[in-house]
Amino acid sequence: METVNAVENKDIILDVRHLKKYFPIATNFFGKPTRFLKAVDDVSFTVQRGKTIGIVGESGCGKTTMGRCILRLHEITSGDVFFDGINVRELSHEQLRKIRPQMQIIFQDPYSSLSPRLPVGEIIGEAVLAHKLVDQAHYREYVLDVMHACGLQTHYFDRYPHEFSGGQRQRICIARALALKPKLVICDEPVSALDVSIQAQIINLLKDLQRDMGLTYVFISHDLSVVEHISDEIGVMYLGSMVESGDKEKIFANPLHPYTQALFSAVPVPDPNVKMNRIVLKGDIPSPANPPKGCKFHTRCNQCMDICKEVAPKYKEYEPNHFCACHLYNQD
Amino acid sequence: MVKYIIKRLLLSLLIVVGVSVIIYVLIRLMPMDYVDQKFQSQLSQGTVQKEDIERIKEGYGLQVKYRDYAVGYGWIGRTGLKYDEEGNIVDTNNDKSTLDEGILIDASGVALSEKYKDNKSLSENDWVQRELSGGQEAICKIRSFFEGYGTWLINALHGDFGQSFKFGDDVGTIIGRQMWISFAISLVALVLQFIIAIPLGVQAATHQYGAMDYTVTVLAMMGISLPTFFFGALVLGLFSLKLGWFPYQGLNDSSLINPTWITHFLDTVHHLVLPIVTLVILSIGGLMRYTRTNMLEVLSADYIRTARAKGCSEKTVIYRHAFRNTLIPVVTMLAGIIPSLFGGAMITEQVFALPGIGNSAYQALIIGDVPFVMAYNLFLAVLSVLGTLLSDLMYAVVDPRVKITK
Repeated sequence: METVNAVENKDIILDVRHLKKYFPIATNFFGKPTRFLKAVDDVSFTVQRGKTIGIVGESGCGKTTMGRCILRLHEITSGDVFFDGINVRELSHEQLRKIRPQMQIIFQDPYSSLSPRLPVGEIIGEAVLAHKLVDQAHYREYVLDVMHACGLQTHYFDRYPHEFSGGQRQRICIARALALKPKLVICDEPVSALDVSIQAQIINLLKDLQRDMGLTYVFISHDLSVVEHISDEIGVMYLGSMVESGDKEKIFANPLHPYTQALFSAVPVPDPNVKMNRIVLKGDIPSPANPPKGCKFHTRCNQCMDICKEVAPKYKEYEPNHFCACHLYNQD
Repeated sequence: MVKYIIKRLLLSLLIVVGVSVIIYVLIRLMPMDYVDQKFQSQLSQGTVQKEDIERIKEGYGLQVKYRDYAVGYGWIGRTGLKYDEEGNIVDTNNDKSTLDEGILIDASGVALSEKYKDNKSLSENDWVQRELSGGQEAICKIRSFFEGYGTWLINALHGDFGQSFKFGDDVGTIIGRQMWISFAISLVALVLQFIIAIPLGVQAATHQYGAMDYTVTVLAMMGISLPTFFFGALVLGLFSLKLGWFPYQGLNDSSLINPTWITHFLDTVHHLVLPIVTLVILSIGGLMRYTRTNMLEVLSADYIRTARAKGCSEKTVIYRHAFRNTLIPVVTMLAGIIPSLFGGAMITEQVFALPGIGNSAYQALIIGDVPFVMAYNLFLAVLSVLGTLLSDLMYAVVDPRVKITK
């Protein structure tokens, strides 16, 4: 019943339900897939309009794949994504194309995600014209406005991407996404390719733009300090599944899942006198092609119990808007 | 830009001269020369004597007769030795150490230095005298590479590439005439090749591992693997000899008397269908695979995902974003295309007996027609150099990241 309410709740712009994305990695003789890489395995969460959800987790845990599935840049294996009440999974290609301006993405690598053959103005403005957001007469003016808002000088209009630094290129990527007046922006590690001083500029730019344009962000990152700075809510992913999610304050004050605790303990504190009490995870992240039985984290968990190896924990709400999947807490 | 082009052209000049040296050396290293081949049977039948051959060779500029030099000019190169009609040295004032400019041989081709190496007391002049007094008619001094090449180069710089041994006409005229026949054939084949191969490559890439991709790939591999002479003969056998749909050789039907230009043109087209089909089928494979590979690489690039995320239509994504970037490596192929455009298709023209430049070059090459082969290969070298220059300039046009400054 709670899911039905979610659709009707106008404040919820994005509602992801049991999202799964399996990539086939082996096929039998007839080309039928026999083994799958479970990149995203049953992820559910909601995002409120104008808020930011930070998705954290180590490399290879499926954050990026999940972000792309929300926009259907990857085809979804199963589950539903409701964007503003519309089920993205059921849209035809043409309907999907029509809705694209409303949900945009900023990619991780500003060096490779800009077409080398198009000048900056065209990169930003191409889709504006394709979707007829402004008419031809006001096109240039509009693109220049967007560029200005994103901190790009207007005479960059006719230059090519290779003439810019990483920070400027990321501003171009942001301008490109925002020129379409989106409601939702997936930020797929937008600052991890940049150096620290530029990271702060870009984060602040994103925050300013959110305030001015009422944007909703899904902010994917492996950098907890960045996520803490920008997010209202946080989701922690491990091996394709959400292990903990909820309000930022609640999660930072009281991390429930052992994985979240380990992640938070690894954040460096800029004070040499503070004795760090790190929880060091043993071993590597298991292969998503062959995830461990029971709780996926049990191979590396420092509080592993017998039940963890057999039964997958349920994803439950332990305090208002604070979910977790762990056998340490009451599973009934 | 202009400065860059001038610099490149000057460099090209150097390259062309280097190429011409190599070609000349290679031709002169061929075991048989034109005259030997031409008079082989007469020689064995005895209708032509060895001495006649020497004289003929001399006429072709393949070698210079020692004695005639002595008689006719009195001087030999820079050795400064002067002979009278009997071959006696009449002037020995000059330094003999410079005699190594050409190798001295007797009529049977044995070097005199080898022949007299046991008799250390004899000087080179004594060798010459002994040979002449022993009744040897032809003491020949083979034209050294430098001498022969120098003569050729000086003539070539004056625009004279010499007379073709085989075709008996001025080489420049022959190339100028036959080039356009080959050019017309190659141009049509090339345009067809591009029109067919590039869309096929794009289709194969966008439907990777689909039925379309596999079909195209298999056909392309067949095209690449089949040798021209075999496939050409196959096509000839089926469509020309068996079915009789197309004429099997030449450019025009000889039974055509006083044709109007339109019937003449249609007749030519009719003759050219099979050669062009052969050329196109055998060459689309490579280009198609090339386009497919490049397209696949570009399609997996991040900015293609950006374009999709923007909500660009699939057509825009493929042709505006992906295909444009695919073009960059395809432009490199220009460098190879230009020589083949004018240089003719050697084997195809041979199989279909077309009077193109490739056919002539083939015949000239196997018979050792030095002037023609020299001029033809030099022509190809110049075209290659120009093609490379053009493709470098085209880079700057298709790729904004490339700027030509120097």
